[in-house]
Amino acid sequence: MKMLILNGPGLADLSGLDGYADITLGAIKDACAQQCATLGVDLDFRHTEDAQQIKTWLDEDLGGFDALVLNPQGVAATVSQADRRGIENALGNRVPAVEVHLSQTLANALANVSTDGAEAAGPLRPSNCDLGFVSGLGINSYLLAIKALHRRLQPLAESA
Amino acid sequence: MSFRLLVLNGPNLNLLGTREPEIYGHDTLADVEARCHALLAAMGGNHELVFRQSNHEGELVTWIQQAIGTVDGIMINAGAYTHTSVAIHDALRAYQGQTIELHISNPHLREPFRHVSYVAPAADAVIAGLGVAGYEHGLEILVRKLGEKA
Repeated sequence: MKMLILNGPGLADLSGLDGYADITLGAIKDACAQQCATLGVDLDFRHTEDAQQIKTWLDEDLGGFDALVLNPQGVAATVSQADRRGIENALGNRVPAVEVHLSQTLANALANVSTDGAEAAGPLRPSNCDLGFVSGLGINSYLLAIKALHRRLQPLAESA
Repeated sequence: MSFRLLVLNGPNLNLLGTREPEIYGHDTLADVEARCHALLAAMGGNHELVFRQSNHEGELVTWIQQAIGTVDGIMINAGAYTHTSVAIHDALRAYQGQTIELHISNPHLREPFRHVSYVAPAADAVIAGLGVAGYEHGLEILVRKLGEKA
């Protein structure tokens, strides 16, 4: 089983992330590598501060993997709607995926909805995608996602 | 270290296994409860789990209130009340223990009226779209988080 973990803008420096300032991307990578090794999963862990690079990786490389973990951090909050839509489109009809966040990004969820019902930010909403969502568990958000995807795909791997 | 845990299920989850199985799967809520108990037994630690379901908003609110000071962690799948219930939101605000919001499907991929959660702002974490396996994943992580804080 091959798993791709993509980390988006805003994750290079987590010192300003309330409650998670002592976490580094290196520590996340090490924990994910250990979890994948335990489960027998081949891991490719990547990070970019360029939202368009995420789309490029999804378009060009995702076909070589069985599952995806994506922390879109800055994409969900600050990047343009065009970049967001591009990533959502690139996720459609592909491998099982889980969107993860270190912090509880829905803590202010009610504030994300304007009076006309339009949602400017928040979780990704690709169409035709098997996408889970985990937030607020720190590094454990990643570890839970890895474990859930492994469990989900394991019967398929055993019958292949 | 042992913890007192409460899993709450909202309206229509008593129909799990028969209601829209293409979305929610074929496992019944009794199946899920049994697996949660088995998981905790396998983890050791002599944790106490109370697993409940109600179609009534007020009953869920009462159970959350009764958890104040008596339960270490709540995992709640409030079902459709997620998107409407200020009362459940307020009750969870009054609860001081760890809270995880859980959904079998990913509400953000469904109808727009499911995109708003009144539970999330009162929860420490959100797990959605992992199927019924999310119950076991969520319970395991809830115990781990409580252990880290103990």
